[in-house]
Amino acid sequence: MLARIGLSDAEKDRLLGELEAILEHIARLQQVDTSALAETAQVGDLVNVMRADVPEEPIGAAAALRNAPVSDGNYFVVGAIQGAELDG
Amino acid sequence: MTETATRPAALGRYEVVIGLEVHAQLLTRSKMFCPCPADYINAAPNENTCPVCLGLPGVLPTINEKAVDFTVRTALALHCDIPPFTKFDRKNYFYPDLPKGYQISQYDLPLSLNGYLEFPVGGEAVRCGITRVHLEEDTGTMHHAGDVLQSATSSLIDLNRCGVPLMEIVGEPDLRTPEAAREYLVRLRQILTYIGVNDGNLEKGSFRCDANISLRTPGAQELGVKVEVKNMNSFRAVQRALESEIERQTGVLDSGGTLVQETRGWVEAQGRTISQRSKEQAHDYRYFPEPDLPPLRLDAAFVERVRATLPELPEARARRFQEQYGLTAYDAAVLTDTREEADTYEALVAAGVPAKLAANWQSGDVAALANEHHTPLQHSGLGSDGLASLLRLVEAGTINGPTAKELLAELYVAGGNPEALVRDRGLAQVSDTAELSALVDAAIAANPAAAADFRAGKQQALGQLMRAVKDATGGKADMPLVNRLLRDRLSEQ
Repeated sequence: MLARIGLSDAEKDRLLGELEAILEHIARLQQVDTSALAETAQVGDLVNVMRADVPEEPIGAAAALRNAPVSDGNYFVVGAIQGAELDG
Repeated sequence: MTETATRPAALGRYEVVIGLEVHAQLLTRSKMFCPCPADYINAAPNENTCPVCLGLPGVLPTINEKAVDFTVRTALALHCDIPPFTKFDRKNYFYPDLPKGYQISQYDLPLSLNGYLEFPVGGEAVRCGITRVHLEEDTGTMHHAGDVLQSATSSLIDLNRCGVPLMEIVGEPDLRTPEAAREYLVRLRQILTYIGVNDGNLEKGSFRCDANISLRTPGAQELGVKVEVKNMNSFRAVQRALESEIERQTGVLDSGGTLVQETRGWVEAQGRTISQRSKEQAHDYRYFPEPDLPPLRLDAAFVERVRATLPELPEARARRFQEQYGLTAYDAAVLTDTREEADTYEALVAAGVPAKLAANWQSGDVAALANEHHTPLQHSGLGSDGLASLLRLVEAGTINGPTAKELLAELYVAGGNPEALVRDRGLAQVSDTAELSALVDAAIAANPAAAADFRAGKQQALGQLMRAVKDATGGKADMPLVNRLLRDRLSEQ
């Protein structure tokens, strides 16, 4: 609901099949014994890549709102959503 | 967990267990993972945004070096260990104030671990363990509809704050009273502002606190059912919310009820907490390592470089003030409350003002004026250099106390050179013994009844005579000298 992806019935049918194939593939991957392998989150050897704390020109509200389905003045507008806040 | 201060709660049937989580925005100029300006308050909504903080596809975040530096600085001030390897993780969370659909945070390998914070509670030293200090990003802000233009079913989103560097400081459940929780926050905020990483503004939300609180039978090892309390935006609110929560939980347990693990919000106007959601509805954040950010290896040399930038911390500075300047513990604490206050004090002493005189004026009349005009001394017309000149005139006996007070109030607002003003207006103290003796004789002659009363043993009759001499000099008399001269003359037969 939040993602606002519009799909036709034909697209839904096609994606249903594709999603099923993806889930089957993941299920097969989960059968592999990885207990002896280290977690791999990075494929390169980069470390300590940082940028200096220097502000640059932002794109501004007009550009930021260009793709917003609904906006009001400088704000994005979304349907009110209750009960989900980040714990921190 | 470190050594714990256990001050029993007022309701002694249960032991109170409190742990605090603080979120503090870092005073960087740009955001955490993109170079947008971090100032989200003075910009129009959504002005300070870019494809990274808007969560658009195909972008790459970059780590703000200053934010890492500030977090390590904080961790060192809180006696934490800095592990040699740290990384960022994605905390999945689908909500419009964070359009990526996840927050970049740190999960199993945070920037720092295992510290502690020491602070006084009712004259007793308390130590609370610090579990970890880690780095993440803030969310955007949501304005829920309420005005006429907006239907009640929509929310307005401003993403200026989205991506502002946020440091999370997780405390151990070592606190045993709401008062201790409050003092923990007071000291933590003081340290963060001293080391220049956060502005400590609870009201505006740059320093935010959530509390976990549970009750258990005294002596029990396992913790009771934990409730998380949110929405407290002042030190007082934290203390009141925890007091109210202790009362509520005690009531439930006493009546044989069962507490549920939940999040409750403090409602200031009603003076109570209200259930927001139970933990069964809690999120599964599905943390996984952030693939777009290379990890960090912070070697000992880096850590030592950051350590070298740490200023003297408030507790150490207060101790030194007592030893070096002979101040009382109270005066030393007042004068080291903020780094600016302590710097001002040392500037006054360095400019030749005696330590005790500087302490009395700074924590007395100057503090009152700062409060009255909502302007600290450094930003007043006088400044600390001007105050030093004024106090040197007091110390030299050039002007008396009341004249100095009047000049201080005037110069605080208008500015100016105290020495020139005293010279131009002829405000110098009258301390010529012959001149004052003549005025003393005149005052006695003009107030025979007061003189007779004093001779008959009424000490307070001296006040009228002192005032007469003071008025005769236009308020400029050296009053301790006048006092002595009057007493001498009145004791002659």
